[in-house]
Amino acid sequence: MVRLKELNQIEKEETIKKGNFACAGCGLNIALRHALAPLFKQVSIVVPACCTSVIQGMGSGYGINVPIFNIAFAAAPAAASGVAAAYRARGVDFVAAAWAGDGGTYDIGLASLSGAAERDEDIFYFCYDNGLYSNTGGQKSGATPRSARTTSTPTGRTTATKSIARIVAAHNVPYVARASISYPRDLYDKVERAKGIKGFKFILIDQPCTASNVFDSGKTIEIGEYAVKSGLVPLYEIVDGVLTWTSRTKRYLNPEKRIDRDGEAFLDKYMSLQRRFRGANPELVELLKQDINHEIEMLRRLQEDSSIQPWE
Amino acid sequence: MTLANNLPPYISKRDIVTGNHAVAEAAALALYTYPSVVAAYPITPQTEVIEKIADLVGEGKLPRTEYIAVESEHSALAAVMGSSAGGVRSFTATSSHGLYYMYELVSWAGLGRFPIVMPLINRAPAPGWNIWVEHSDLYSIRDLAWLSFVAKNNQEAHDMTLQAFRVSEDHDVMLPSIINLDAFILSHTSAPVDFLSQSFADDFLPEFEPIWSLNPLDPVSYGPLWSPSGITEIREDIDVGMANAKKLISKVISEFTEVTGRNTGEMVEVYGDDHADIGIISMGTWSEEAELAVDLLGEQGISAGATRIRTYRPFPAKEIIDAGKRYGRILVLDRSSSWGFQGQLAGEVKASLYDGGIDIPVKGIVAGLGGVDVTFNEIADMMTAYIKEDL
Amino acid sequence: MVKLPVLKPIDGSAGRTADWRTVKPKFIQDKCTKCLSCWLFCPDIAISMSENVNDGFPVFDDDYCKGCSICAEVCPRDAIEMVPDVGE
Repeated sequence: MVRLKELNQIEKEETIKKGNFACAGCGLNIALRHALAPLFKQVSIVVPACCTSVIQGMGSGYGINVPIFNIAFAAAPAAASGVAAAYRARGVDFVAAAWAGDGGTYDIGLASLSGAAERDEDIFYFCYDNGLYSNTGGQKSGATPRSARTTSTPTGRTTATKSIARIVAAHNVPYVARASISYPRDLYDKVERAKGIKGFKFILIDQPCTASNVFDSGKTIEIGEYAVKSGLVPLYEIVDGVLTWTSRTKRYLNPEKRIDRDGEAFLDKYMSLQRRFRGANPELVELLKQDINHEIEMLRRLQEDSSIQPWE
Repeated sequence: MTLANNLPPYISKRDIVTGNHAVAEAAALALYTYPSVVAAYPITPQTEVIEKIADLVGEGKLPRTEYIAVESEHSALAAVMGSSAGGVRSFTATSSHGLYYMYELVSWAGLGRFPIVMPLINRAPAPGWNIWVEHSDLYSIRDLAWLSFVAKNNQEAHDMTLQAFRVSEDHDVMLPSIINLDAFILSHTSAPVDFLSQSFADDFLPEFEPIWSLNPLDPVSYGPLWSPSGITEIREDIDVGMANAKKLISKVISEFTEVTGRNTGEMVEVYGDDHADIGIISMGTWSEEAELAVDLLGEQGISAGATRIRTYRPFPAKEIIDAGKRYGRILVLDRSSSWGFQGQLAGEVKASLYDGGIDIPVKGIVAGLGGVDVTFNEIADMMTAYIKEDL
Repeated sequence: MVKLPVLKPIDGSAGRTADWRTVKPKFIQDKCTKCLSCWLFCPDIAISMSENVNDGFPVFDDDYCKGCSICAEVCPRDAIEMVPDVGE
């Protein structure tokens, strides 16, 4: 893993600019900083409707330090395919990427994502996932965890979250990974490794949203950590169809280990900090716990040796 | 099959091809010399255009062209906008439902000044399913800042495609083009075409030079949040581009004619008596039928003329006013309607005449919907009836 | 020249974002081990750390720090405290 001192050197020139429109405590800026650092001065990003279209700002300049093509909600993977084709046609060594939220990825952009993945476009696809439509005020997306209240599920989401990473992996693309802004060095490493792979690279980044999921802006990192430690956001890479768990989070794949030193469940800690889970229906919360185990079980089947438990 | 030897240098071959292939071969001339990208999705009756290009790419005859077989029209237009933003010449093609599916990006490409060229094979929308000609798709794109050219035959479709790249990509214009072809009547009907040569194309059409592009070493953001007054400025500039396009079309056609001797008009093509009791205004393949109808009326001693709109956007308002000065009355043919009002072209002709202070009788007829054939005899009958005031 | 919605990168695209905050970081140098956590997690690159500047201790940007408190939360030594910022 990249050492912090190295990263501090590498990121001397940053991929974002100071004083952009992101909310105080927004994890999106953290994702942009560390996910794009390995591609700095090589990458252009295509951004569909999402918070990244807004945080650039409005006026005399924009607050992100890489080229951006802002495009319609469902169009980012196709447009990034076009950018990559132009770079190939011109014979220049630049990288095209789509940078989309979970709404643009799980929902409205899914057909376009599937098309680009199936064509094995030589692009990066980054999905920064805050589990709802934040830019429009907090509606349910395909990524919203069961039981979470949103403005379109005021009594809590009743169905299971879509497993976008497994959907993309089912396209037989060379690289799929899940990362979190609470583990920036791991995020950086994953992009750095994927850089060397030709073909479609999908990176799903968990990014707690202070504004719509309503928590204290200082808690962004802590909540992201609990998401991982509760098993809700397992971290892994799927390279050429074979899954490897990210070592730092492996122990939390074991349902028995998802508790802190005082015996408090990380899922409870995760939920209690966010207003979207306040008064959550206990039956839905039970189902959410099953969702977590189910997803890890399904991912286990992609291990090289699927007979062993993920935490072994 | 080559029909003649000893062709002049601006012609590479003389062949009998469909309108679709005439367009595809002209696009290939534009795509050949410099880096270029094509992205497309099949839809009847457009599919032949992109199949032809795919063949040429597959056979290695377009070595600098990247071809992306996307999963929808929405993605087709997104991909060529991406490639245009990546700095290269970009091409796609569609028809009817394909256009409606990509509609969100049609506005993005037009209002956003992406100089893409896109044949639109004019087809009726469902329900019920109908693949034959209608101009409703042509009009649906009208207000989204695309240049719009309408071909009358195979040769013009070929020439117009190359001309469209030249106009679209000009730095004073920077607007996308659609080239309208009537479904089947033009898209799938074979007729002789003199193919332009690559050397002519290279002289006529320079390399595409983007005015901005996605360069990781010199970053820009294209299309972030924009203020109300800023949007107004951008919109106003579209009309500047449209006005520049009108001037440029005249220049481009005269350059084209100088070498090829071919001229089917700039904004409009005028046919028949200079001053006539009745004039007919139309666009597309039935404009050739209208010319035959004018001849037929002439044989009956009725003075008639035809004005064919060749460039629909920018709109030939001045040319329509000129027509109003030549004709005693005007019949406008529309292969579509703005339901609840009238045929779109009829409405625009009337508006132009009013602006020009011309007060003559004008009547619009909506006909030929869903591919109904309209012949010169029927057009002649309409014109005769209108003169007798019983239409 | 065609008018397009195109911008170049700048600092302060949202203005002086420190004006948003109600609290600001107070740094307690004695407790700091230069672990880089605050630098790593700052969403607004409002904390810079470099060996040859400020003896390698963090430098806080008073124009663009939005006062989110992430730095104070992630600091393992409690070397950052959030204090009220009532502005000028």
